[in-house]
Amino acid sequence: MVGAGDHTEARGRALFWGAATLVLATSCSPSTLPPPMASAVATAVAPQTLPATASPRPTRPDAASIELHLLDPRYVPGEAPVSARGQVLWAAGEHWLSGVWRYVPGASEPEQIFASRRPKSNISSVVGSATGYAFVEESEPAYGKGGWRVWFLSAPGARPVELARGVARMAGVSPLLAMDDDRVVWAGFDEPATGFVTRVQMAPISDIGRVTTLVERPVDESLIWYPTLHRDELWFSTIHPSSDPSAEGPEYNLEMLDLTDPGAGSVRFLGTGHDFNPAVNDDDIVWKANRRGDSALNWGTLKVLDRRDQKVRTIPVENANRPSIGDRFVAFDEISRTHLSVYDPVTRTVLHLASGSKLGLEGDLAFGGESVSGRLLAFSVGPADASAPPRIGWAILPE
Amino acid sequence: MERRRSRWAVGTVVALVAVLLLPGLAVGAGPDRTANGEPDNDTQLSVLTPADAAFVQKKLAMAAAIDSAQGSAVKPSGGVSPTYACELDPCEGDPTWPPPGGPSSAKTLGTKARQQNNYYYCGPATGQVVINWTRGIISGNNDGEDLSTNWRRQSRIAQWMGTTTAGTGGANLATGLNNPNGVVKPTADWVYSYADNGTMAAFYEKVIVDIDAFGMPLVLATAPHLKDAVYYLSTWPKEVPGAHHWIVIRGYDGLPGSPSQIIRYQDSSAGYGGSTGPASDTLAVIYAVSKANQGGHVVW
Repeated sequence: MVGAGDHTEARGRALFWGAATLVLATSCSPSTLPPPMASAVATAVAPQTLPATASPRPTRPDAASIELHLLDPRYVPGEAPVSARGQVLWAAGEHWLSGVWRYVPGASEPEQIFASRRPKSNISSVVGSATGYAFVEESEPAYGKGGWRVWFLSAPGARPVELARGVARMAGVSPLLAMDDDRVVWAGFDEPATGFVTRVQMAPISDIGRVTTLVERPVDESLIWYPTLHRDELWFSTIHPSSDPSAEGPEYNLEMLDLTDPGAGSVRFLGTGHDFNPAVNDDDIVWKANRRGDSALNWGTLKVLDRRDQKVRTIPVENANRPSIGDRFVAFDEISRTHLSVYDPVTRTVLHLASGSKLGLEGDLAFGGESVSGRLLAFSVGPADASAPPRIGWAILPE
Repeated sequence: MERRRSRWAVGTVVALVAVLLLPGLAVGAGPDRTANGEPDNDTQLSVLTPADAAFVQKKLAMAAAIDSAQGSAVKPSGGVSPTYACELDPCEGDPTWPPPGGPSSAKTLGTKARQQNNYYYCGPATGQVVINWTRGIISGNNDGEDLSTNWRRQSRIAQWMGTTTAGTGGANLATGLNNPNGVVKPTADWVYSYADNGTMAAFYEKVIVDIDAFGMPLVLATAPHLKDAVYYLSTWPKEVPGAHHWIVIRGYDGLPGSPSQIIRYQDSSAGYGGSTGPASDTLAVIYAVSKANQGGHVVW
């Protein structure tokens, strides 16, 4: 465990506070978006220090008091489970991941909210909010090689509404999603005859058929991954394939788009260099920073920018990946997969929630797919020797 | 960037550098699915000459010496069973390695990643990384067809390896590396061979011997991200059932018995389901994704 203040690097490196502050102060208004915008990255806005607020000394949560729960072994997650507004979502299926499931803590059992009838259907991403669900479906027989569709589901069992379609035959990766109560956003690749592009699009829940293209760039300029929404901020990761051909590898960084004024273009987050996988709430911006030359998808070091004092701290876990942030805690995968841990930015400590016995499971375990939203943590756990399929776990984290 | 080069060919997705692929490869033979670079049932191991077999036994003897060098009484399961008459007693391994203090606790070779030209070229791409390394090529340009930054074009190495749209067999991959214009041998008797991984401990010892004693990378066959998999490569964040994929093992961190054992590797698969560049995962992950791929084989 690491005490408060041990990992401060900071120095107000932070970036574009003017814009960020404006965004936080502005209400969400997706219906007023302009038509597709130019995607030029704006110059970083001058930093602006926010006043620190006085607050009682925080108490460190007791990890032992956090109850962990496992779903029945019948429910095998095909991909990492997703914590989404008080429910756990996952794609599953016997041969193909053709169904979307959810579990609401307190319910007697999970329920299937969507089942595709398309052959070889594979649900590659799923998100949810209080206003519905969105998922990405691949099906080579139905959509062609590399074909994908983004679907919206207003409620479990409802008729899906197609939001977008495209082809990522060369890219090999279908779009990734983000969703809140007001919007669905997807970022990924499309390969029309007019030229291959990376693109971020959005549909307002209130008018779900009105899709807006927020960012569109040629793929030799940008490769956009991992969108995430927080209020009127849209964050995403960008790889710059042609940034430096003589270097160990390409540069990559985070960008933020103010959804109240998307025409202004995105703002580059200065970060710490080679930044990827953003996760954002009111208090903190979390991301993964890699060593120069490392693959953007590789394990890295998780950084936390405190939005109040603009200090950047390092989560004291080596080789972490795929951070998410809820009301308070940060969840992440870590390379050994032997621990289930979360980081508390308030007390600046890592809480080790489980190493096996607490779950009533025997043998060496592998944890993965950690995801948090609000106070709900979702994860998967299975035997380290893969002798049995992984199971889905969840926990309610302290306030 | 030169526009004659296809934008996407390079592999788009994660990565890649500026200089991309040749148009013909990108469009004509371009990928129509995720990386799948090894045939099914690729279990035919390298057929070794007596001299080659002697060299392999020498390396196995060196691997067996790792434990004793660390002061452990534990020996690898199965042991070493030479099936030939040892000339000059190669079974003794290299008496100068490991040194008295044991092997290096961590070592990573400075190999440079290359983007695979198409979905079935991960074998030639890994071979290119290995050959470039032994030839002293230090360019970070990951374009496998640029002769100014590679010892040989990736497509040429594919010819040496007999690569087809079904991928590259392990024994053929080793043959391609052993091509007279392939790797520069660190010792006169050096040879790459396609072999079973053995146990996780035995596999890790192979890695340590090749990298620490000889300064040579290995090439590993993997199932990078199977359905419902507990373990998968960090460079393959999405499930890709059925893919067979070659990666370059370039380093390790942690000796046998240490709390943490990490394998450092290079992937070539941006745009084909994975990403291109250096990455790392635990020994358990690397061993699992290899074992899940037709039982687990390595070119070492």
